[in-house]
Amino acid sequence: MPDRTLDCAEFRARIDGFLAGAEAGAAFEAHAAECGQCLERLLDAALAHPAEAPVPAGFAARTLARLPAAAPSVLPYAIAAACLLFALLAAWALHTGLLFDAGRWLAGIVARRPVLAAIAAFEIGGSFVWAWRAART
Amino acid sequence: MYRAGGLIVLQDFGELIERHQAMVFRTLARMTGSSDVEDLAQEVFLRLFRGLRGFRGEARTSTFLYRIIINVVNDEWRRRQQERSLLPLDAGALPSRMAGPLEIAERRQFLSALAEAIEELSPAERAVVTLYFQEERTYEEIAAITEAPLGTVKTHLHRARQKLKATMQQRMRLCRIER
Repeated sequence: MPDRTLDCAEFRARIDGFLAGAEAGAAFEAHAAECGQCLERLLDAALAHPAEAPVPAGFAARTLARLPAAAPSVLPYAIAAACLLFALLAAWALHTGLLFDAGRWLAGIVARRPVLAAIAAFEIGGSFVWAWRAART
Repeated sequence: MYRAGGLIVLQDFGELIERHQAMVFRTLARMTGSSDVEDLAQEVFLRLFRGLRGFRGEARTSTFLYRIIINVVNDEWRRRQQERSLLPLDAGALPSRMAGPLEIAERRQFLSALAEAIEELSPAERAVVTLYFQEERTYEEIAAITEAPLGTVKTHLHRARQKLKATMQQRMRLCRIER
């Protein structure tokens, strides 16, 4: 049993003071060690208490000074260029009839090597997802 | 908003840093257990700068920033894990900081022990605990930030609270036994 020099109500009334820097005392400590519900209250209050991390003077200026080296990524442009190239090739293949030949060739591969085709489709799809996510962040 | 003719207006970005820097510092501090987070904070804003193209406006600034913070902390956590794995075997045999008894009579000691306990949580649990308690985000907002289902967010929060309680209780009881 906890050292009952403090009951739950008294303990909880002291939480804010403790987190503001007031001396807790042995009774407070003893109660927290033995009463799970009060410890939960204390932890919840402590977690809601903002972490102490003062912003150093001149932080914004130092960060801005680093920005030119962090110019926006060319990745989105590269992806857009790749998509455009793909569309042009597809249009050309469609125009020349090559696309239908390629389609028949792909259908033949899928029929003969379904597992290999599935892996290839997964890889290509995964690459697109990765590129899309990379472009977002 | 932060672009003019395709170029980012540095003055506006400077104002954006000023507006969000306190939040970035305290969130990083809580998630890393350290108050020396300037390098990480700079990395957060540099990633924000690079990611402005996908930025959809002021309403999502905090969501976007929290997501970047979580990614930066996760990268830092992986880096530290790699560093630890490169330590000689003798160093790995050092006793855990968590093993010690805890006196909570002083607020500073208590908060320091809590920071250590938070460090022992998984990255996902740490993020959810920080966003829920310190940043006062709702379950729905946390789900949007972490891109996790609502149920997963609640599970992480519940587990994190149980782990923190168990760790702190164990340390305080050890202290009482030793006296």
